[in-house]
Amino acid sequence: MDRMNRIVISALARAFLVGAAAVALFGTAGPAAAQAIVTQGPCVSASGYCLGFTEEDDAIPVVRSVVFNAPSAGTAMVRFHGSVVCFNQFFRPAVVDLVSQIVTKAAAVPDPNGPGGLRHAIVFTAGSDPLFGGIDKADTFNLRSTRVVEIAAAGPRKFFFKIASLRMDSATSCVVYNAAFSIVFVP
Amino acid sequence: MLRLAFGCLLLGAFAALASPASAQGVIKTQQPCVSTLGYCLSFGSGDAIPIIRTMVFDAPSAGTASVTFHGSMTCSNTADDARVVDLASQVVSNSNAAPDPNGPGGLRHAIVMFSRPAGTSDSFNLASTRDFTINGAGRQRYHFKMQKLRMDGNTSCFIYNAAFSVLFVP
Repeated sequence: MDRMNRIVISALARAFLVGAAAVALFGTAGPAAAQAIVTQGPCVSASGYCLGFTEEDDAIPVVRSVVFNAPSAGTAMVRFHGSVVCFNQFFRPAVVDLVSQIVTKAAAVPDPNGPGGLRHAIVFTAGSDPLFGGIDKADTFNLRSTRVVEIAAAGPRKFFFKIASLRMDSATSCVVYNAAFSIVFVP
Repeated sequence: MLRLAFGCLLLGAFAALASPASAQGVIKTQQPCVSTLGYCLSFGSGDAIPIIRTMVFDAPSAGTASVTFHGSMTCSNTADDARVVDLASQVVSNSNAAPDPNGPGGLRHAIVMFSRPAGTSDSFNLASTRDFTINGAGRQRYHFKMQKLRMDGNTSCFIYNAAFSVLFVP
């Protein structure tokens, strides 16, 4: 009888340990572990900012992109962090009117009314020509944007932050700072 | 006895499956707000500012909701002299709450705009985040509200996008 009791107790103990191990295993490597937060370092060039553009440029380059390797199907909250400083170097008032958006295709045209889209517009007072000791007029826009994207299956997904000009008057220019994506993913 | 042992094993496995699932986060969002005029809404110096946007979130359990508001605002001055626009905004859970720029999820947006034709408009990013503790499963409502601290005559503001997102963690 004692031997039988020992066998039973031993079997129960093993079962408990296996169950506990399962809890530990699923608790750390199961669905909860597939949640993820990823980010990228700030973008900075030797010039001290990420990139710049002027009214003379044919197109504003893609400001930044990020590749996210989704571990499964789920939902990604994509956040963009950065600012853009714009200048009027001319001695007349000038307009800078920009739109930005977090998009999933590099060729997409930014839409201020689309998910993750914004509009940034200003009428500058007259700047003074620096050649004559004048001071440029400047203003800053916060580019912070959020877009939620459903992901159908595991695999790499690419996100882009794009800016397009609705109007940039003569002698205006802008420089972008930081320009970093971060992503929170939930299966 | 073997049945009892397998029972213990199954209980352990169920516990394993149940506990991480309840710890799973949730992300919810809403579509951007846009009217036929090409923006979400506008208000002038003589208007009461409506609630900019509301989001309903059905919390699956107790937990914490990190509520993010995404949007921008462009303000303009059509007067022949300098004018002030000075606004406060906040993410609130009570639709009657007065926005407090110093409260959680609050901001202040102020500018002196020059007269025409120069310096007559500027833009503000309204991006805001506020964390709410949720005591149990149920419906939650979050509002983005704005209030005038000062808005001179002949000024107006236009809101773009105005979309909430919620990251919920049990």
